[in-house]
Amino acid sequence: MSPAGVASPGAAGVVISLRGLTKRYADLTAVDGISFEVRRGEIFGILGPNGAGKTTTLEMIEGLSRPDDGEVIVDDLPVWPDPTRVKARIGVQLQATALFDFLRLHEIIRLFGSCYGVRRSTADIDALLDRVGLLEKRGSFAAQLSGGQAQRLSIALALVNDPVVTFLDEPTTGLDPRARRALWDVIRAINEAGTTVVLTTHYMEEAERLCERVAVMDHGHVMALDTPRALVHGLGADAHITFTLSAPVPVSDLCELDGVSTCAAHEAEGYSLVADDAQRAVVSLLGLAAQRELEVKNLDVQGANLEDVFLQMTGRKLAEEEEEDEGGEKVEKPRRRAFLFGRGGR
Amino acid sequence: MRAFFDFLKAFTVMFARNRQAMFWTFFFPVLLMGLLGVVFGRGFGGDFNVAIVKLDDGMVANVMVQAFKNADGVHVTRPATEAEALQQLADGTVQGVLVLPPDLQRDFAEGDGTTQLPFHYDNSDMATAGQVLGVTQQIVESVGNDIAKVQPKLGIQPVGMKAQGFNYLDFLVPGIVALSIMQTAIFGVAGTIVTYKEKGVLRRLRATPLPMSSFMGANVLMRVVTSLIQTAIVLGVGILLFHVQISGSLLVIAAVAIIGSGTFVSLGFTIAAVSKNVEVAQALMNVVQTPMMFLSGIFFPMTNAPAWIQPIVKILPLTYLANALRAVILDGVGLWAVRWDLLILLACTGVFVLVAWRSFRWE
Repeated sequence: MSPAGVASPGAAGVVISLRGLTKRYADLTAVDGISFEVRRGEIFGILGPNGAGKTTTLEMIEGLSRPDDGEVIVDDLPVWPDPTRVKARIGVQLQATALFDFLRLHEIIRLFGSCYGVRRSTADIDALLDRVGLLEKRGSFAAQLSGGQAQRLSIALALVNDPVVTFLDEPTTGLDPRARRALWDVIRAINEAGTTVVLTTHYMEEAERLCERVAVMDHGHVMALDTPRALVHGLGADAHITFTLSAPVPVSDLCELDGVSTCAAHEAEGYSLVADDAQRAVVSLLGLAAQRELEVKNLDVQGANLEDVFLQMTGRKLAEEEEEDEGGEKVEKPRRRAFLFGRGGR
Repeated sequence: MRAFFDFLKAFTVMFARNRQAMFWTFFFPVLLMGLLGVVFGRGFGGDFNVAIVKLDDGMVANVMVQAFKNADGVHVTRPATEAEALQQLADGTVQGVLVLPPDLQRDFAEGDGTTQLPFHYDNSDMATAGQVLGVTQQIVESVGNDIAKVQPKLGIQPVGMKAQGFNYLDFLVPGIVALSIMQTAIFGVAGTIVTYKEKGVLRRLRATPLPMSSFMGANVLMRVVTSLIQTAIVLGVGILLFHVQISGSLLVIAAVAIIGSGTFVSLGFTIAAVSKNVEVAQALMNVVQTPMMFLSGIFFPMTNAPAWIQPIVKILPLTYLANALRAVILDGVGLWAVRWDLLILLACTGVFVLVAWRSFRWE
C-alpha cells in the first residue's frame, strides 16, 4: 500500500516515487526537496555535473543513505525507515566498486547471490555472465579485468537477484568510447528483458541515446524532466552554428541576422551563433558574407542537444572532463601498496 | 545463515589462494621460532657446564675433579660454596652442581655401600637434564670403580630444581603462539575490513539485504580458526624440532588461544573502525603491534626489564595472553589458574568491541 498522497495518475506504471527528498550535510544541502517518478520499464537518466546530487539521490533510493526529509517509494514499498525489503528487490551498481581479490567471477556472482538469499546454479551464473558478455572470463579474477569488463561485472552483480529496477551510478565514467558504446548495448538489452533502469551520468550523449526520460539535476535540484527530445525542443534553439570569417565583423551585426537568437565572437575571427531556425540563420549568414565580400570558413551546423539545455538552465557546461576521457584508456586509480606484512586486503 | 557459511567459505578460499598471507600466517612464525631457537636456544647434545663444590681435600675428591676436567664436552667451574654454585645453576650459567661433601674420603674408605654425591641439576628442560645427568653419573661411577675396584662404590643423588635461567625454547614457543594469534587477528580483521571499506566493497554489500553481522561473523570465525591451526603448527614444530615439553591439556590451550584471538580480533575491529583508509590502518597496526611484540615478554622475559617499563608491560593485552599460554602449555595448569589473565583479556575484548561499535563507519 502506498501512503496517501504519493499515488499519482497512472501509479500502476510507477516503480519509483520521490517526494520532497532532501539530504543535508554539515555545510550544504546535497539534495534539496526533489520529487519525481520513474515509470516501470523505462531507462531513466539523471543528468548533471559532478556534485549535482545525483549519487546522493540514488543512495537514498537504494537504502544506503537516510534522507533528512521526504519519502521514497520503490515498487510500492517505502524505502525508509527499514530498507531491507527494498534492497532485496533492487539491483545496485555503485561508482568505483572494486571486488574481492582472489575470487573468480563465477564465485563472486554466487557469493552476491547468497547475499540476496538467491541460490544460483552454474548454468544460471553462466547465463548471467553471458548477458554482460563476460562468459569467457568466468574463471578470471576481478583484478584481471579491464575497466569496461569490471563495469560489466558490476552490472551483472546488479542483476543477480532479478531486480525490479536496477540502479547504475555513472556506469560508463572512465571508459573509452568503444567500451562505453558496448556498455550501452548491455544496458539496452537489460532493459529490453524487462528491468527498469535508473542511471546517472554526466555525459550528455549517454542520456540522449540511452534514456527515455531524463531528469536534469544541478545543485541538488531537478531543473527539468522530460524526454531528451522534448527538453531540446523546449529550448527554442534549433542548432549551433560555428564558423570563422576572413575579416572581422561587429558581433551585433551577426545577432541581427534572421533566425539567430544569440551570438558570440571568439579569438581569430571565430564566431558562434545559436539559431532558433537553422535554415534561415545559415541563409542570412551567407547573404551577409556575400554582401560584404567575406569568406565563411569552417562552417559547422550542429543540432542542439542536452548540453545546450544544461548550459541554458545553469549557465555552465555539463562535463569539463569529457575531452580527456575521449580515446583514453580506462582511468584507473593507482593500486594501493601492499600491507607491511602483505596480509592486508584479503 | 546460509550466507554466513558462503562467506566463511569465500574467506577461506581467498585466504588459501593468497600465498603471501599463507606465508606470513603459517610459515613465518615457524621460521621466526627456528631462527631465534638456533641463535639463542641452549644447545643440547653439546657441551655443558658443571660447578663442583669441593668440601673435602681427600684423594677421591681430587681425582673426581680431575676426571670432570678431562671429560669431553664438560666445563668445570669451582665455586667456593654450595650456595654460590646453586646461584650459578639458578642463573643458568651451569647446568649441574656436584657437591663433594666434607667426609667424602672417610665415607669412601670406610662405608659399606655406595656413597651418593648430591647432584643438583636444572630440570626445566628434560632433554638437557637427561643428558647432564647421564654424563655426570657415568663420570662419577667410573671414578669410583677406578679407585675402589669394587662395584659400585660411588653414585650420584640427583636433586632437580627449576632454574630461573629459563630454557629459552620452552619460553619462546608459547610466546610465538601468542604473537601469531595477535598478528593473524589484527591483520586479518583490520586489514581486510579497511581494504573493503576503501574499495567500496562494504558499501556494495550494504546495498544488499544481507545482515552485516553474517559478513563480519564469517570473517571473525575464519580468523579464530586460522589462529587455532597456527597454534597447532607452532606447537607441533616446537615439539618435533625443539623437544619442547607440552604438559598442558590441548583443550585448555585451545580455549586460551580462542579467548586471545577474540581480544585481538576486536582490537582489529577497533582499528578498522577508526581508520579512514589503508594507510592509516597500516600505521595504527604498527603502532599497536610493535610495542606488544617487544614489551609483552614474547621473545624475552620482562621481569628483568627496567622498572619504568613495567607499567607499559602491564597495560599490553599480549602480556596476559603470553602469560596464560606459558602457564597452560609449560606448567600444564588449568583455566582457573590463569583466570586473571583471561579476565583481563575478556575485559579488553569488551572495551575494544565497545569502541569499535561506537566509532564504526561504513564508508
